[in-house]
Amino acid sequence: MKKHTGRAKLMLVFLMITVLFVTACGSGNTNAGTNNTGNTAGESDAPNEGADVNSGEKVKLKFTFWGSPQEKKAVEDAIKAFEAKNQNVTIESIHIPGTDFLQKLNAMIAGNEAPDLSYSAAWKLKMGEEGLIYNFFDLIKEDPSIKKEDYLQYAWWNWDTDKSAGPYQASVVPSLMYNADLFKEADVELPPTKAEEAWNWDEFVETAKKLTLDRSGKHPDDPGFDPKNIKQYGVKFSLSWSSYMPLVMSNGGDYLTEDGKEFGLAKPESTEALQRIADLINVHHVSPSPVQASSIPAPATALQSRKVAMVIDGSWNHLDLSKANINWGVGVLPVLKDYKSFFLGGSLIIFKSSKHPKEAWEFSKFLTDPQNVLELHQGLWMPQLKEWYEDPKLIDSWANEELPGRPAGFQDAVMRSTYEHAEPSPENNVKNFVEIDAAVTAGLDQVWLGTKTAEAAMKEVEAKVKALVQGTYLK
Amino acid sequence: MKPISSRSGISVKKKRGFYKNELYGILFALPAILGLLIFTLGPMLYSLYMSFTDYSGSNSPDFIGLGNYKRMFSGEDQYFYKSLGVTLYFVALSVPTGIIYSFLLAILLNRDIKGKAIFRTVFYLPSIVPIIAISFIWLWLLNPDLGLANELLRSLGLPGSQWIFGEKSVVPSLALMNLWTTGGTMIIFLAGLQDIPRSLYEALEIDGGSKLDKLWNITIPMMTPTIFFNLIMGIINGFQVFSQAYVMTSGGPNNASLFYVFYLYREAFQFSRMGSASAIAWVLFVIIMLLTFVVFKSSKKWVYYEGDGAR
Repeated sequence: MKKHTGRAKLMLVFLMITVLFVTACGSGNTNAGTNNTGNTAGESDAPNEGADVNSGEKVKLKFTFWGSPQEKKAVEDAIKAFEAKNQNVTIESIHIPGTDFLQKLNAMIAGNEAPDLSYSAAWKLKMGEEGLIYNFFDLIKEDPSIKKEDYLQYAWWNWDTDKSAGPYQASVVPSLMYNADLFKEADVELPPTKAEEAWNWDEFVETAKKLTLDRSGKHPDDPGFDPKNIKQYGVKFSLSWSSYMPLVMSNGGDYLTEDGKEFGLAKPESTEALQRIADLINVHHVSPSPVQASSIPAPATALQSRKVAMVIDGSWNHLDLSKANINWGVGVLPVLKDYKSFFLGGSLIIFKSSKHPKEAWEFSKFLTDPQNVLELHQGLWMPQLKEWYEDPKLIDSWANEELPGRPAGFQDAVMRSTYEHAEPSPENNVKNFVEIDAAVTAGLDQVWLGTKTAEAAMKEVEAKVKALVQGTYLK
Repeated sequence: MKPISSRSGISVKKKRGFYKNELYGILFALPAILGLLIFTLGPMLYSLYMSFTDYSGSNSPDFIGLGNYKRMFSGEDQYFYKSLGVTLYFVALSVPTGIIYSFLLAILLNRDIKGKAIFRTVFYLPSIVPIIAISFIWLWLLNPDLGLANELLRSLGLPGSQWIFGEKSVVPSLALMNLWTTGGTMIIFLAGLQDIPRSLYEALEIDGGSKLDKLWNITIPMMTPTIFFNLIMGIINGFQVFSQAYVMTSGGPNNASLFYVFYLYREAFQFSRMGSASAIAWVLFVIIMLLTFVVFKSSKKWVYYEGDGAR
């Protein structure tokens, strides 16, 4: 018996230690945090310290950002150009991969090592509410060289009325891209490039059908068409909000209702649009379901390898397309009623803990001026300053259709169609967007797979997100 | 060092020697003890405190008492019960199948067959591949259109499955994938099998027992401590399943694979609610602790330790 209790004790110790060890990784995720608020400046103070930009005092700025190798290089080049112009300023740039970004940044903030300025995603709004970052509107008041109205109307990341984490540093837009060879082979007219001539839904579906082929070369309306063995899809929707929202808006729907009090995606105008996209998959068989899409590569490769004839996805794919050896083009998005689209993008935030907010401000202005990162604006990004959409000379510098990243029709199909029909993007307009979107994405899974109608799924989501629907920031 | 301590062990009185030995023992164990205190216990207690606060990762934590826990248990956070259900389902599927599969495999590999070493290596190999890589391999194997799994079913004339893309099939698919990585469990079973005295089998042979009798009356009873160990480890690992959801499914479709730790990750790093994520982690800690305790309690009934009978 004695022996037995000894073993029991040992077991208990073993139990405690195992549990302790194996759960430690689960519970150790928080960062040691110290009080970071209430640094140099108060809630809405503009920076009033820091030397004049061109004075002799040596200033070092810490800047955190993410991006592809190409973006990294362009940003680093811009930094060099800025340093050459402002001899007293050196910029320590820290490139952090996107997936770890917030985690690293939080650790830096907690360790009182916050950067002076940083790239940022939707989480910046919380930082704004907590008083960690400068209100952009306070900063811009001090600078006569630029004003709020110079920026695109909805290019703002605000956490309150008159409190902003900045405008987009650059924009991207939803875009329809296609492989022109496949249109030629099917003897189908290329997508229109002017918003007024945009396909209505039936025209769009008809075209997509002509471009969809099963293994024996049949189209969806042909007798004996095999929807389980489709070789080439007419169109691939990315199925994320940035691709379905233009269509929802085009039908008069929106993420929230006009007064911002209700979940708009559950309204008939919205569910109709969502259902139409689901029907492309499950009724018309011209578009891959999430299951089928899992074996389709990224947009540029998918178009190049003739898996799909058209893609509706973000304009950031233009860069890859221009590098692929392919005869590609861009068209306007299909519509249900009116043409609607939006710009989306991140913004640069300046931390209140910065000792040199003036220099940080100058650098942020420099980096958001398309002139200084022009290379990226010729294939990946689009400007966020109105002037660059109005002044022919400036347009020519980034949207000239002779540029390798800008195909024929770009100025009409991508630039003007968006600029002239821009609505706020839900990402920076809808409060609690990240959380609502998580619930919507889960609900839409069932719609795309055809197990639920858009109406039923969105009604369910509506009940779930009720507490999160708290209005909008911009409109 | 050595001669001194052995000399003092002889010359000094027994009691003092004991204390000295204990002191040395603690000193030698100090790196491990300090490591545990500083790097494990410290952060753990800190996260316990965090779980009572509203903390986004960048603000100063506001103490809100049981707010985070209330939010979870009241169902205000709709994902808590969902993720708990999904995870329990996964544990219920993956732990028994994993143990039975690796146990049978161990029995097979314990036989004297040609190329024994090669087989053992082959079946163990997947468990040294990182789980992320395994996830990518299985992403292709389970692809409904091009994957080997459906190709195989089709060639047998069976209908394919949606695998990880179906709401109903995603957790079973991941449990199936889990079988592939049970090489470690298998090795432990193998070691256990080799510890069973031959004499027992011989005795049974003399008494005229069949092969099934051997398995049922000798192998399984003698293996219960090993099964017990693997059961506990399996449960703990099962509750912490994360990478598969992160890499393969993002918790979908429709949250059908929203595993508990993935839910925790999302709360912390997508929704920026570190306080609530800490609370989630602590609830997991308690769940695992309780379950382990229950299994330990039940072990008296079914785990056989050699020598216990002689007491």
